[in-house]
Amino acid sequence: MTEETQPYRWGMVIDLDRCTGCEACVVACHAENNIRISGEDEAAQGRAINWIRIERYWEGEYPNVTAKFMPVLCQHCGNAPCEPVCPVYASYHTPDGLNAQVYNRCIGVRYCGNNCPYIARQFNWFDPHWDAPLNEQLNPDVTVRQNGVMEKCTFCVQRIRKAKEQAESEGRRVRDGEVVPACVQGCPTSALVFGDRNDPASQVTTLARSDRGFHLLDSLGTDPAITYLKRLS
Amino acid sequence: MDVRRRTFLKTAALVAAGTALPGCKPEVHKLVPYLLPDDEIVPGLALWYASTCDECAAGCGVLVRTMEGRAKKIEGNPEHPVNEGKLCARGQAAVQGLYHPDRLQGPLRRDRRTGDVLPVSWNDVVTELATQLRGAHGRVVMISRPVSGAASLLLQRFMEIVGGRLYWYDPAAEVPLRTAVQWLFGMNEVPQYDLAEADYLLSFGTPFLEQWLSPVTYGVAYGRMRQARPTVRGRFVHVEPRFSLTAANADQWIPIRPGTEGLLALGLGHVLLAETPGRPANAHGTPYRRLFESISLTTIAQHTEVQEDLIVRLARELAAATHPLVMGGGSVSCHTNSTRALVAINSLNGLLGNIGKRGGVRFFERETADSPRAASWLTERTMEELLAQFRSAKASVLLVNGCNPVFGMPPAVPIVETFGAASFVASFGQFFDETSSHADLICADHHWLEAWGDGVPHIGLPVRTISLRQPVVRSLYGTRQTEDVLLDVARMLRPEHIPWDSFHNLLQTQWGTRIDSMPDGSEEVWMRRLQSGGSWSSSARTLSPTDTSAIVAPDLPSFVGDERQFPFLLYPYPSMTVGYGGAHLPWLQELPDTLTTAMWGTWVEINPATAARLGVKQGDIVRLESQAGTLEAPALLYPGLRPEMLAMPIGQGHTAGTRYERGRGVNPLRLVTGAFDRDSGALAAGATRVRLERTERKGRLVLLQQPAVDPEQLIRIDSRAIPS
Amino acid sequence: MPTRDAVWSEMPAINRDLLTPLSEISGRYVALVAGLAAIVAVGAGVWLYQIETGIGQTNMHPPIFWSSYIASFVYWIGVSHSGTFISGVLRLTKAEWRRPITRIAELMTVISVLIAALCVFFHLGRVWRWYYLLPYPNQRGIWPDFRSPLMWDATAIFTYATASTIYLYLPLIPDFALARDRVDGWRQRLYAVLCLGWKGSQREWETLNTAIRIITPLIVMVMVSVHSIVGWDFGMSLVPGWHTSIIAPYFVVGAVHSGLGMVAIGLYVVRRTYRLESYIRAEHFDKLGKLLVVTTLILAYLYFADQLTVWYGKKPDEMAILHSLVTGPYAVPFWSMIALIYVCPLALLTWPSFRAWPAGMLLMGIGINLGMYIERALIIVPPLTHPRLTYQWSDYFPAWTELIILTGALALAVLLYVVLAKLVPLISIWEEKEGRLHAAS
Ligand SMILES: Nc1nc2c(c(=O)[nH]1)N[C@H]1C(S)=C(S)[C@@H](COP(=O)(O)OP(=O)(O)OC[C@H]3O[C@@H](n4cnc5c(=O)[nH]c(N)nc54)[C@H](O)[C@@H]3O)O[C@H]1N2
Ligand code: SF4
Ligand code: SF4
Ligand code: SF4
Ligand code: SF4
Ligand code: SF4
Repeated sequence: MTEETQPYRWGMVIDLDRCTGCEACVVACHAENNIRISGEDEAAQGRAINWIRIERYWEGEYPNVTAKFMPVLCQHCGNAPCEPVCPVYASYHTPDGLNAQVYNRCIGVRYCGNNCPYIARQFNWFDPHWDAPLNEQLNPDVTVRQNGVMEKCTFCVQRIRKAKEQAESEGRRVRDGEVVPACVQGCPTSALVFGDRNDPASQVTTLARSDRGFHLLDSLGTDPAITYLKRLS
Repeated sequence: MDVRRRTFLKTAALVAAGTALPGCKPEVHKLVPYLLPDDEIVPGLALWYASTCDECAAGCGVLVRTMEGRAKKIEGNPEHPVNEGKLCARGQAAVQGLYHPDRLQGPLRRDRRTGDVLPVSWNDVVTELATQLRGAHGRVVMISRPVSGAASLLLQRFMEIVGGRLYWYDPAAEVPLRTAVQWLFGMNEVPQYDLAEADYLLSFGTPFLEQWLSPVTYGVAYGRMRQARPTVRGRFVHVEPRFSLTAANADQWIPIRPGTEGLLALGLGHVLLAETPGRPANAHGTPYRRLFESISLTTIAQHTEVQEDLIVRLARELAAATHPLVMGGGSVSCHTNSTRALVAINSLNGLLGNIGKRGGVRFFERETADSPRAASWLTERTMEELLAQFRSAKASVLLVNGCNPVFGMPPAVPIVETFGAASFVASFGQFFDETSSHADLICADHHWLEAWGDGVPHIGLPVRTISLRQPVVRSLYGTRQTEDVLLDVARMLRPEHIPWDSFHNLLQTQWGTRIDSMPDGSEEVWMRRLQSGGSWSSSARTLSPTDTSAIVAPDLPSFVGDERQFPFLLYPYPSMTVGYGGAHLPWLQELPDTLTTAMWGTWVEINPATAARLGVKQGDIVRLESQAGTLEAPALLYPGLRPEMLAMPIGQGHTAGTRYERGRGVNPLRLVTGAFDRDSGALAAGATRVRLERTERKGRLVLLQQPAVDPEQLIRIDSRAIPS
Repeated sequence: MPTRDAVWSEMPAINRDLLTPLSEISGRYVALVAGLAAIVAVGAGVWLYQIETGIGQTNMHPPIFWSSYIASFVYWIGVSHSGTFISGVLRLTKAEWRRPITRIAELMTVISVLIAALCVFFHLGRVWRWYYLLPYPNQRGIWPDFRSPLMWDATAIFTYATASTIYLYLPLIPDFALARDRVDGWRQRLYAVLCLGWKGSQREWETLNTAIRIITPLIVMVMVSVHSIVGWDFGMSLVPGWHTSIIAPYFVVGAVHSGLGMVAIGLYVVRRTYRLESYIRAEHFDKLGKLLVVTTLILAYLYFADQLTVWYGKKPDEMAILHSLVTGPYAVPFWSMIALIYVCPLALLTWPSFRAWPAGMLLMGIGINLGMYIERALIIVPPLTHPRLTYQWSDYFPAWTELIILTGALALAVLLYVVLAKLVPLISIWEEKEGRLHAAS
């Protein structure tokens, strides 16, 4: 395989020792990816859509209480449980290692949602709505999802595509740091790092080799593209 | 990083094409139908504009992605020294303010008698303002959000013309901290706390990972402190009565008794002095000794409820660190002894010898010509003076610019009365909020994405920085930038004092003087500055603080309300999501508070043990009562709170404003009594005692972590779930 | 033991007894049909509303992506095992007592497969795109993904529906011919078509018997496979509490359990309505009762084996579910389910006198079906509400939309049965006669 044709393998590292739970990533993702405003009632029903969320786990009791945070988004599993269960190929794996969601194919059986152990998948229970002119903000590079389809983090595939097209037109590979998903871009503490795991020198590959690294629910064998780095204390 | 720079240069090229659009052509004020697009706009091609976020006083540099004339996404400016390409949640959400469905679309006038609010023309606005100001010359008060740069220059010039006083108002200003820094270091500014290089951080109540002063700067620095150095990981201890998000990130949380943080600082200094002969390593020796040895360790342990051996251990850790750093603010700033406590806390830095050092507390020379020091800070205590002043004057004018003091100050402070006492009130802002609903004239301001401006970062930075703001879209409605309105009014009153035809012109002229030293034509340099979002070429000179012995030991805090009648202490804290003034943005309403996971409302945090004792369950509506008022909100069991306290987020409970905030939740400031920090006059928001009564009703808690599980069990369940 | 001559002389009476229900239409019948149709109409209306506005009209939310509709799907597939098991297995084993009850049960099968399929449609987020599930040739060359157990399911259910319809139809041919010769008007013309020109020749009988002999074992195999596959919809997933190898046999036996319960209900109602006490006798209820004891024991054994493994293993993910059932928020439905499908059947059906008591068997049938419905819901909901990341734990109770749509589906099932009872002899006439002749000496 030549350098140009060897596929990419997009991956992320999340350093829990840096993450402060500030949630800048959450809003960045909403702004970039046309995520609907679910509203109070839907949110109260547990349906607020977040492609990335900060899970908080309490430990201990007052005064020895601690809390840990963990940004959770689609892990883009190399061996994704959500993929084979979809009867219509709406959840599929790209050659770049992304778990892609084809909104047009999805018929909304939601099997994938059950089978994602990370509960990364979010569903459009109704058509989305933006009070005008909030809709002026919508990103033209990203589809607005309709009633009845599944959605989730795409690793900001629109940004990946753009960088790939640019690189292809210049006859080179995408450089390390050239693709920056919205959440990674916004994160004040640089807890999130994104890049090509097939590039042995990329920042993400280097960090993922850290001995603090672990995969979420590793024992399930889902082979996530996201490596977490343990928080120290 | 090389790649970043390259991407950025590309960006700048796009910006170059773009800046011409709204900026240099006066015709843009005409409404050009979108059917005739500007040449620069290519459908499907994004243009980035560099600008400066104006959602809080930090002033982060941004790059705004626009497509087809619409702002799409706000991203951090990687070159900007304040935020280095990063943004906070509020900054990310700002674009929803631009496209907010309930923005004011033009100026309005309110009839004082009937209360009717009707549109007026900008001409009438300017004439009326000029008339009113002429009639009240010398008795004009302007309350403005803090601004710097050209806007600050304009405001000062304006106030000179109309004769009156200018106050800055920002509920997050940390006035006690500013006062303490002034006392201690003789500096009228917030220094740089260089946590990126610190290896031991002791924080007294500062919510620097939530919204303190410049949250993105601190977020960036925090990431570095933890993981950017190959062998050093900075240790972090946080002292606060509530387990805040910042506390949750600390290696150790010390749930101190509220208001006694200054005493703990004394205790630490006490041990430091006792155990390390030769300290302090600077000239402050004697006053420091007087300060730190004033109280015994045992008494301190009693008052703070921090055990003696822990105090000793913390002091030793500080002493052992190579770059120890102590910061204070936030929860320390909301008591009757705040300034003194912050003096004690900050003087620990002097004791540790880290003033002016890497990893310590540093002061830098700033762009001074147009710094915001011309005005004083409006504190809650000042309101009483203002009221008296207005009551005694026959004609008086109150101008309120870009802030919402009627929401931000508790009803116990005579703010509404002051508005009533002024014979004319004009407000400048983007929404019909609590403050503008008390104004006679409501001037619809541009959103900052439509406006010009510049500014100096308000915290110390090692780079001399001044940021630029430019319109990234054409203004959507018939709004006008406040500075332009003020210019028109000033011109009507004193034409000879106003050589500029617009604020944009003022700004460019100002920058011209700055750029003149560069030979290659100021217009081109100006364009380059616009493209890069400001100027931060040279590193700033370090200033050494003046010696001062104005050190006083902190006293014990006092609380309003009888302890038996009002057994709980109220702890209002600015919500990390909506905060002061972000509740109109749906993205922030729906952003779960990280620790409680709550969205779209207000809640009362209560320690689970206290809740069990009182028979309060998660979601029960409880009634809180203080000497100042009562309110009701659902209870939320919160394991990280002292048992004698009840905590509530500030940010909701708007009585006016947009569809997303009006009538949602409650404002805990309704309970807050009019107690002030003795020295700075800032509101002592944490000095109120309350009582709690159960009601038989259930309230609505909208939580991301779903409420199926009894929160009492949650802790047990969570403990086994954490995967790392 | 009656002589063959005596049996021959009973034939006209049998014809009369079993054919009259087809043409008698009482006022009560009309009222029943109208009432059921009204409920169906309301259910359909609410379904349309759900399609129009969004599947959000249900109470589902992450992580509960499946709920009452899928529970009902599983339940109705289970009920469909009534016909195949009773007539298929009993035919295979040449159990003579099956004769008066096979038809009643086979009709149930066909109807409940239909209702089960309908439940899947209720569930789809974009039901208007349902045809993406069909392997039809299209420009993009995308076929359904046969790795998905849902595609196995779709295939199995399609096969099952087809096979069980054929299986219902084959033994109906001689009865349709009999009816053709004894009624007039539009019915005669209808039966003339339906009986495919049956004349009753020796070759025709031989062909029919051969066909039935071939399809009977096949349908039993399809039956086992179809509910195994329904089980695998769950078993193949990673959801704790679903991912267990015992789930396929457990689903099959559970299906037979509820199917038999449903047959008990059917027998009682048909016997009461058409006064067929001399055809459907205490003996039939007794035999059904014994079968139910067997299914109870097997089901209990499988369930015990499964839960014992969970409990002994103490894996936290699975224990959370077990706790939620035994002592947690699902304790009331859980213990009701245990009482209804295990304890009561064992306690009561082991008494011969209870088994021979038709009303008692009716109650038992209702109890078992109620219990099995709860059991289906408990298989789906508690595991989904307890995902591995405890941050996402949640709860679920159906919304009124779900309840109304599902009530409409139940009404539709009853309605179809009531209408078909006027078109199809509810007891296989020729098989009844054949049985009596075999029994005669
Ligand atoms: N499925 C589907 N079919 C469509 C449409 C659709 O949307 N979907 N759109 C329809 C429409 S609107 C159109 S206009 C037609 C377009 O249909 P075509 O006119 O077939 O368009 P092209 O595929 O662009 O092919 C034009 C050919 O011209 C060649 N060519 C390029 N430059 C030159 C030149 O300078 N000189 C010469 N001689 N040849 C040149 C190209 O190599 C190419 O082989 O397609 C129609 N058909
Ligand atoms: S933006 Fe970064 S630090 Fe903040 S919550 Fe997200 S990952 Fe954590
Ligand atoms: S995290 Fe979930 S949605 Fe994402 S690839 Fe893995 S299984 Fe699929
Ligand atoms: S919800 Fe969509 S993506 Fe998920 S399994 Fe169903 S059809 Fe596939
Ligand atoms: S990678 Fe993109 S889509 Fe995924 S969570 Fe981050 S911002 Fe959202
Ligand atoms: S800290 Fe946030 S709100 Fe404040 S200026 Fe920076 S991005 Fe804007």
